[in-house]
Amino acid sequence: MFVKIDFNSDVPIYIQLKQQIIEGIADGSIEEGENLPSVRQMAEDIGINLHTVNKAYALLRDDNFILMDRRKGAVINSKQNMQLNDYEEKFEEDIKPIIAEAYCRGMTEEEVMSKIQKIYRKFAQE
Amino acid sequence: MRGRVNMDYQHWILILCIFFIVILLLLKLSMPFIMRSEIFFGVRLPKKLTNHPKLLELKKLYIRNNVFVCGIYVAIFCYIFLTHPDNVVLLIGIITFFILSTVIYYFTYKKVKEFKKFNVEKPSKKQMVVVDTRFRNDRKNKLLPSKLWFIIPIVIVVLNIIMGYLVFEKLPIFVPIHWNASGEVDGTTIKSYGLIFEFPLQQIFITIYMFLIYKIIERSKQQISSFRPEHSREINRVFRYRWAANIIFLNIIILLSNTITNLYMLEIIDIKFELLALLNPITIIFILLDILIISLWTGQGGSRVNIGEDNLDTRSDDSLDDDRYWKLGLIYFNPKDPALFVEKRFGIAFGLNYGKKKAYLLIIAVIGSLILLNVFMYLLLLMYSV
Repeated sequence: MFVKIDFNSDVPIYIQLKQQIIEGIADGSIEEGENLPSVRQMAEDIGINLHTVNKAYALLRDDNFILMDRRKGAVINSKQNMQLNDYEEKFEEDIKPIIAEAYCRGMTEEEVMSKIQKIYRKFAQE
Repeated sequence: MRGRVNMDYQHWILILCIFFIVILLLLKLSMPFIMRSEIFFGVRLPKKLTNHPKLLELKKLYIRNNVFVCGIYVAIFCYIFLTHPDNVVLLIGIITFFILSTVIYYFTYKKVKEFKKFNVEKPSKKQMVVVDTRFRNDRKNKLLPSKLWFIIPIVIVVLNIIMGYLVFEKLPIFVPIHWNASGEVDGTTIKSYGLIFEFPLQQIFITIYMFLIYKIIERSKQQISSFRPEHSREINRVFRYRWAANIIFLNIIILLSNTITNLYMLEIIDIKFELLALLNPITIIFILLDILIISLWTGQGGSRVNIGEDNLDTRSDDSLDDDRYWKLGLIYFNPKDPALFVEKRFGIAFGLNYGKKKAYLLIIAVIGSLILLNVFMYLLLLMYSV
């Protein structure tokens, strides 16, 4: 998969990296069991500090998106292992400020719903 | 008694030297044709400028300047060198050539910078870096040819040692190891087992260097254009694949050339001394020609690789503008980048990140290992000879 990092963004690079990899898993451009580059190699390719990549990988590991194998390095986890029992709560928390902003900016319920649907279907069809 | 030397070969050496500098000129002239489309004379261009008509004008200017200044310089140099054939003249001549061509490059580089400044009022909103997570471990499209190919050079080294061992008994007590320009022996050594390792040791060093370059080609920082990542990734892969394959090929060629000299010293083959003396210059010119051909065939970063689909992604954002880390557009100096090896902007293949201490340690290590090689070779000759 292609990881696209914007050096001018307000979003910190380790968050961008983490989100991009999750998106890649969702749309199938990176598959279960596939290797991510080593921390050092990833840092060299993007041109950022090793700690930044380390932080992103550690977050992905803590959230069960990847497994850290001593020999194989970072490997994409299976989708079953990514499931969380209390995820709905977290989801609500995460999406609340976004919907609040959308509401303030004047988006209608239908518009919000159709956007969400469109994005969800893009991932689900893979 | 080996064949007497006819002085003709010295003319040949002169001709080869001239060949050498002419190929250097051709390499410099080919530069505008092998550049990446998004990096023009060491300056990163935003998408909207990559097809600007002014660029063609600047290219023509560079070629015109090069033909006039460097071309005339090379012609004058050839004349001086033919009338005063001398190593010092050759060395100074080549250094001057590099200085001149750098000045001509710099002239164009400055114009491109002005052009960019004039056309880009403010930096683009997004500064993207694109990286492919599968770049180095794609099973179907391998980044490099298998490293098992290095078995061939290793076999050549082993064969050299075996041959040396087999003919050791037959060697004279005093073995000639150095010849003067007219082919007469002017250096001998007492026969020793160290002698049969003299050339294999050089070959092992060369193979280690080549293997390291092979690893650098794999390791070097990814440089994928954000304009059309798929296309850029693929031509980049082909670029690295061809260069790695070429490194293995050149390794074998150099070792074979070295083997011929070894066989001559071991008195296994008896070729004319002229041919032996021309062997090294011919090998060097062969390597230069090979580099020229691969460069024109592949282009820097694969810019001349044709893989069909070549549509610009219209939604794509501009790449990170890293011009300020490229001093004069030539030297990469970025202490914050952990990468030690990067693709050169103006030139061929890969270079160092001079912002890192490791770069200097590496240069010292290479020089140190060359000194070490010579010490080893000297020590080998002393073995058993006291």
